[in-house]
Amino acid sequence: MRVRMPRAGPAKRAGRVARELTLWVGAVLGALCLLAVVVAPLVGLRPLIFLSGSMSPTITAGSLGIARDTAAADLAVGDIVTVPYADAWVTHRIVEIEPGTDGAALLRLKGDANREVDGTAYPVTGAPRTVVWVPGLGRVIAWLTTPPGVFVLAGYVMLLLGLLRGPRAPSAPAVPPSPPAPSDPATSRQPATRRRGLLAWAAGAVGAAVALPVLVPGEALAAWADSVTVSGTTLTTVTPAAPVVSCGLLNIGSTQLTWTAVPNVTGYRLSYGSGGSTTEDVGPGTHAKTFSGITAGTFSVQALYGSTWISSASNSKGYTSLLGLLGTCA
Amino acid sequence: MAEHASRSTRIRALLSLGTAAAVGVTGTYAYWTDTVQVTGTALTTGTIDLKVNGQDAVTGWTSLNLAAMMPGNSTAGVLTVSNSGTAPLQYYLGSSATNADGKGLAAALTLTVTGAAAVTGTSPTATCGGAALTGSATTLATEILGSPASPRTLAAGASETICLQLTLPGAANTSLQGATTSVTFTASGTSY
Repeated sequence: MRVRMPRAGPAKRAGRVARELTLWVGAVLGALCLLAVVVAPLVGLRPLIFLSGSMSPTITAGSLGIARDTAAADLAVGDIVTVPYADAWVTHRIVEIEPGTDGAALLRLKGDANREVDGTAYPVTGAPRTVVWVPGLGRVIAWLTTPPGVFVLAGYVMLLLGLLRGPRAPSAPAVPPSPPAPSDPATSRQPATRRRGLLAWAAGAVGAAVALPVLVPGEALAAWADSVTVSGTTLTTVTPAAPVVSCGLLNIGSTQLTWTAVPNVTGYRLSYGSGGSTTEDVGPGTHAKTFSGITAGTFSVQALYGSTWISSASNSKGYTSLLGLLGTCA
Repeated sequence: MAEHASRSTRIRALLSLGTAAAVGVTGTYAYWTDTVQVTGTALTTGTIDLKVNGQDAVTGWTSLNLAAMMPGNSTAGVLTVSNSGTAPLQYYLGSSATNADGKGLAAALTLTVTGAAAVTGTSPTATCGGAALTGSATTLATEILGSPASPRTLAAGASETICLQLTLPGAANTSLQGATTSVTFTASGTSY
């Protein structure tokens, strides 16, 4: 924060103390960061940024994690590992390890927040194992790689570059909201500083242009999984039942036969005549057949279901019908 | 104040640049893991919660049950699939059927999947109204509506009705008499 006072006084001194303090804190943090950036790859550590919350509540979305490259043989169930999936990376917990040959292993992973184990198994020879994570820090870094974030970062860099050589250190780093237009040398008070500022902005812009395509993940990824099973459906087809044939009314000159109704039928197939050689299909509402005139034969009935299903044959009854005489049925 | 920044100031300013470097390096070399959004660095803290008929597991769903099915009979039932989470999800519907008696009843049944909210008619001639949904199967296949490659989508808080109709064709083989099958449907959801 820039403090402009008409006269030197306590406020100015406080501002200077604040500047010193900020510089010291920045220097210490910066030194630690540089150390981490240089040393981390040497010992197999790599940063992770958690874009989604499938490992929550353990690791929430927006966390920055540090993972250490680990050989497959050193992985254990319960470890949180990062594996390639599609064009991106997925970080989930190991629930099962199937050892393979040559130190490879097949990992089954599950997000802590997922009810289900991931659909695919991941073959690996080694994987970064998450050892520590900081909630929220990944979100900050993610933002700093977006265009407005890069802007802020470039402003920060420019401020520091200004401090490095600036003749009026505290007031040099006034950050304009956009890259300054090419300045008129006649009106520019500090051409050198302005040029440095422009350079810093250019560097920031180039950095962003280089970094962003690297950062944009290519493919969507099934980080969350949830499924619902619907059970309880049972379908059973009918076992066609055969009707039961009985003798009906016996009259002079006619003989009637009846059969029991069978549920759900679409009709009945009657067999009669000599040896039951004549067939006749009747509707589901018909349950009797009367023979008249001079005829005799064997009678049986089958139930029909649809156009293709036929029950077994019913019991058979022999019958006769003679003009002027009482019919017989047995 | 000196005309030029002091040596100490310069060193500290230089060191302070380390933070920016670390951010850049971290941003560049970090594994951006669990990508939920294709829009790059957008962070999704949302959850998905797939439910069918308002439940995480539906047992004893008997809408399709038929105990004396005959050729030409049909049975229908409606499932309500919803996303109770805060992020959009995609899902597909699958089925599996038993064939304990070896008669292959499930394979003989024809399936119709529509978006009807209620069945038409009553058992054993209940049907699903409306046109068959895009990407729906006509038999009790592994995937009966959508697939992992082309799933259906549900916005956060959204729901849709899926009407399932099973028909035993009128010309069903006579060997299917007295056959039984138990069918389980599974809605598989993922974030995207």
